[in-house]
Amino acid sequence: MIKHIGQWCIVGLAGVGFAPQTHALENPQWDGFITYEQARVGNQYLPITPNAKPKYTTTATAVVKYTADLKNGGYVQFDVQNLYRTNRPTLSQVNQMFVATPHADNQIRMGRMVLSHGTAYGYEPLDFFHGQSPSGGLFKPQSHGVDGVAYERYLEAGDIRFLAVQNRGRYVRAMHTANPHRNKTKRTTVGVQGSFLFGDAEVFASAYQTQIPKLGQQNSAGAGVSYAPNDEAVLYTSFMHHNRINDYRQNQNTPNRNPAIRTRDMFTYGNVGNRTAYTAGVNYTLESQNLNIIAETSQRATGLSRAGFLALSEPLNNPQFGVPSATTPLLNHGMRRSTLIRLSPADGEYYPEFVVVRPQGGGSINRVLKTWTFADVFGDINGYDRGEFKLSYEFRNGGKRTWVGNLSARNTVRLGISIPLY
Amino acid sequence: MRKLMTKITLASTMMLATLITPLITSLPAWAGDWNSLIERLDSNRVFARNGQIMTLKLQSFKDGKPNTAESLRVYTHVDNRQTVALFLDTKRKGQKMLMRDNNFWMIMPKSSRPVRISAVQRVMGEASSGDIASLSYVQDYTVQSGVDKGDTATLTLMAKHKGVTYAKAILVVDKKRGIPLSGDYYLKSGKHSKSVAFTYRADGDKWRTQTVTLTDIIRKNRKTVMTYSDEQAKPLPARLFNAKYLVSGGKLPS
Repeated sequence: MIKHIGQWCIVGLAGVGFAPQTHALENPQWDGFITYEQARVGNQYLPITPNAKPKYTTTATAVVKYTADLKNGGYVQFDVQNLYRTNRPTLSQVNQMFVATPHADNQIRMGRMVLSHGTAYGYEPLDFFHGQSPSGGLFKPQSHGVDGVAYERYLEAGDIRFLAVQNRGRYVRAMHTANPHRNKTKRTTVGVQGSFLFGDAEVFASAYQTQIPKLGQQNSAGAGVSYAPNDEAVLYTSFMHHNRINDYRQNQNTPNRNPAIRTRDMFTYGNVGNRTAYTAGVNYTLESQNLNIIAETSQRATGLSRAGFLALSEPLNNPQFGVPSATTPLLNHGMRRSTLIRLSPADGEYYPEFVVVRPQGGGSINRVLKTWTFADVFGDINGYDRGEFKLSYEFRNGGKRTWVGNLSARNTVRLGISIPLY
Repeated sequence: MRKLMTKITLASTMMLATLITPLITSLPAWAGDWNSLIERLDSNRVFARNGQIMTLKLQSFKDGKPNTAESLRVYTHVDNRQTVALFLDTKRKGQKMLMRDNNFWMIMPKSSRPVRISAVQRVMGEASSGDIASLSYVQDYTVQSGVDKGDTATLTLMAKHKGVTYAKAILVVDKKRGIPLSGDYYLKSGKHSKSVAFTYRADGDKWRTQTVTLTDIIRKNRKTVMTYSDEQAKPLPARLFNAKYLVSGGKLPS
């Protein structure tokens, strides 16, 4: 991992040095925070640990971001993070490290960058490099960068982006992330993303062609629209179609090591051929009640990956990584469809929030989250007003006919603290 | 005789014109022309149509006691009806709100995807997206009626298009200075939503808005005071008002 970070430091610095007269950085801005969370997790999934005792986990995260201007009008940005988790390897990661050269309404970015698309609250099929979890939304981490170059053109009422990137499979959740071999392969993707505003409707479209070593080529294309019919509501929907990989091979290396958990999709989850993902939702504000409601239904191209399931079930554990630490079922790849309802204040505070996720086949995940800033608790503290405490409670109830059915009901309480570094 | 009558008529007309013209020109421009009055309201709110930047402090009160506070840097291209508001402090530091025409997005620092929000979704306290982003009465409203009350006039404004946060606004306007003093905002349902009061400071021959106090009519114990400061005029490129640029880390002018 250290080697990997070093590699991209070199790439980033080379990028800075590549632009003539731009090596002097101006207006540097540091940002970052440390997060510490303690969780008490109730009963685990029954087939494996029927009488499990409550489990205590600790998570600590450090995130550092840096941005500075170049003399030619461009800017550099990097974003690194380090995650400690109880009983799991410490994870270090460079999310972004790129050089950008905006000129008038054009911009070229080179390096590792986050490329997202679409506007759905939870699962967004058009967000090709992210977006398997349907429960994230406003606070969902989408920090996984891909390596390459992107040309972005900002139009009067929209934008268009051409990209050529290489990405590690583990982060391409729009495809199949369950196969550990595929996870390690590097894929090369060329694509185009566009969004255009027509009156009150914003239209999205994107298309990608991905070369996967030893497997072949996958083509994906999709479109979406968001529309505000009145002052209170926003409707949105989108879809993405993925075609069959030319050289599909059945996955024999199942991650399931427990024969007690086998399902009909065990041998097919690696195949994403000819599948369509979609999402549709509404964001409605009841101003007189100070209430914002988001309701969304979605279907993914494949079932959730393990990381996707973790992000779905426990996104609060480590929102920066989306890779929480608690134990999870070994197989959950069949869970494709889900619905989500989120209730929160409409006064811009966003918390407390109440989220209910109903996965395919039954069961539910119910979450309540409340935060307090340091200023709320202690009064104004110069420089640390951004610090916050957060308390969440999650009740997960597995249905019998779903992947989550391997789980018993489970209660999780989390208490966290986040301290700004700068 | 006919020639004499014609000459008398012509002379009378000229005399009348000579007498009336100064009277007409001495009348204030607003008399009977409410549209020109709301244009004057705009001229005091808008100081650079292709790019103006200002700092906006929001302080909300509950039961008369300070509740929450937030500071924003607001970037506006008035002609294109585009605004970006950058949150500067407390836990929402780094969040951005984008308005293009009547459409709004929130951009969260930990997320790389903008989330589209509705026009009435509030930014903080009683201040909705539209309260922050809207600057031009002329672009958003037409005058339905006006009542002249001496130094002031009461204008009833109706929204020109559906994306305007308030369907109807009744403003009490200082005719001499060309500024709104107070008002009432109504939702499309007809419900009285907020009352508003303005204060100003002199800036040459203009009056700059200093505070806007929004009082919630539905929840009467709550109000929010918006304080404007640090205004700058600076041409702003189109890319600043693009959600993709903002989520990709594109910087806003300081």
